[in-house]
Amino acid sequence: MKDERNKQVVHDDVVTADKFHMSDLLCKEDWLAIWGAFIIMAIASVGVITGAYKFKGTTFGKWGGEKGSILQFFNGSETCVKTWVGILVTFIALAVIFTVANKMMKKDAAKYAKAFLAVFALTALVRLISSQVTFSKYLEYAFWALIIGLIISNLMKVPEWLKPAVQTEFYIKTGLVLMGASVLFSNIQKFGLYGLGIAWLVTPVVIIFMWFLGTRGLKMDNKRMVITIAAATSVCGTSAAIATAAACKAKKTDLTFAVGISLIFTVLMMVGMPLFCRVIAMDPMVGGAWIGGTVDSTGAVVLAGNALGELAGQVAALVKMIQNILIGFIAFAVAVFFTTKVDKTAGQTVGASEIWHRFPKFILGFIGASLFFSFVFQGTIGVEATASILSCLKEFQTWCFALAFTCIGLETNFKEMAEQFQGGKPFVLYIVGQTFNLVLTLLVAWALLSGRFFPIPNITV
Amino acid sequence: MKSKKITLLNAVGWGGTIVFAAAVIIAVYMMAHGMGQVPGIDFGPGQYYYTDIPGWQKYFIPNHYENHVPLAVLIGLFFAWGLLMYRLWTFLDSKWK
Repeated sequence: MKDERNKQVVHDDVVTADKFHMSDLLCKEDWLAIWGAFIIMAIASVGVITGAYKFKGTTFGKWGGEKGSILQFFNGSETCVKTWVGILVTFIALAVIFTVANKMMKKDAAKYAKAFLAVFALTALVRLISSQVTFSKYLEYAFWALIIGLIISNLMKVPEWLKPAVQTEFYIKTGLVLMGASVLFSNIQKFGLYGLGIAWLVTPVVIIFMWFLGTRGLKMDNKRMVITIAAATSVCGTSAAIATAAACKAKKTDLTFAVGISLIFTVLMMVGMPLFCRVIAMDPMVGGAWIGGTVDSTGAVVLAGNALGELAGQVAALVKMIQNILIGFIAFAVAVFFTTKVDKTAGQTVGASEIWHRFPKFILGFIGASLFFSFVFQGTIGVEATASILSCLKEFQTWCFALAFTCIGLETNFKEMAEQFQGGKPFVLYIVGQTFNLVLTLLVAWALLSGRFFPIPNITV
Repeated sequence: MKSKKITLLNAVGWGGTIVFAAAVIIAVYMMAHGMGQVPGIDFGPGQYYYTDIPGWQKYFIPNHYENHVPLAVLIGLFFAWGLLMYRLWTFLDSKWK
């Protein structure tokens, strides 16, 4: 009886997808996430291409300090009306997509719609708080969504009527497919062999190193947490952690740990690395590449790079841009690895059909969107129009992730988090892994860009 | 011997926890004092992904480097290295139990 209960908890608690049947295309979460995201992409794309309308996700502008008081969103001013109308459009679009999907999954659509209104309102509060000028720069929605969700779930009981809309996996998968559109594979040529060398030589080596450090060295039983932290460390923080957690069917607490650790150390690295580069008089190009290859968040990379100068900022952005491409491929590799190696029982051979059954299908939507926008859209409608579409999609993606993090907070209790603490091993894994990443990336950046072995690339700023 | 190993792992774990706790305190201090900011740049670690950056087109669309290596070669190298590393990962994982 106890085992059955545990099985249910494990089942409810993972970011996962079930076995595949043809009928799943119209009733399973993974496929509905793909279709929902594709519908949003199609509507936004037609709007940009025809110029007939603008279908763009909206959030609050920054407030606090010179940006004005929070009251600007509540005083009936032009900003107030524009913001709320935009958020209402975003809400309606997402509510329709998710409610119809729930109906197709044979869930109670009316109950879902009512609950979604409340979860969206809570997420709107999260986004309002995280738009404060300092919070926006340093932490943003993931942190505040987790905090507010955790406070509600641990101080008061989450009401039953709210639970139908607490669908973390669905929001993550939809957000990831939307994100796929912005993973432009054509960017791989932006910095030629130099960029590929710095971003791609090191990343898989760090992941493999951290995998063995976590599973063998530190003897962490939770392999999904190990790989989620490894992806966050070596690829690009929160975004990579979300994609990898979904790909390996990680627990929500695994994702919470990975994101929390990454956010904290990103602040330290963003401030500390440019200072260190200046103190040792590091070449700006090497310094920029080092920052681009190691600092987790893209915003922090551009900022820290520019703290070293314009050239360093540009090199940092170029390297990070290539790392952003890696998200989908790392998630794909992790999904295959867990399907064929980790989740199989001893002595079992996993055939192609079994891999297909177990494989998280939303990754196909993510990669499909990436390939379509990279090689079809960019070639036909041009880079500028593609960028306009991505700008329209960006906030829909962010709302999906913010909804997911709010739900994670609502579903997580402190006892559960304490169980995942594992005597501090996740922290050791990140610290040692990031140190290895720093050393290896510096070596590769120096070898490629110092001019000792290869010609120094000509970067225009 | 086994208990010694466990004790060492515990010590390492607590060491990591202490470093993390110190990192949290330092990060809060840095954020409270607006450290790491650059004049004219209105974003930071909160912008997780490149499209989160306000005006991301300015940083990510223009070409700042003239690449002479064909895209097909870069893609070939990308997949070759990725495949090699994946095979290494699975090989080591099966050998190192």
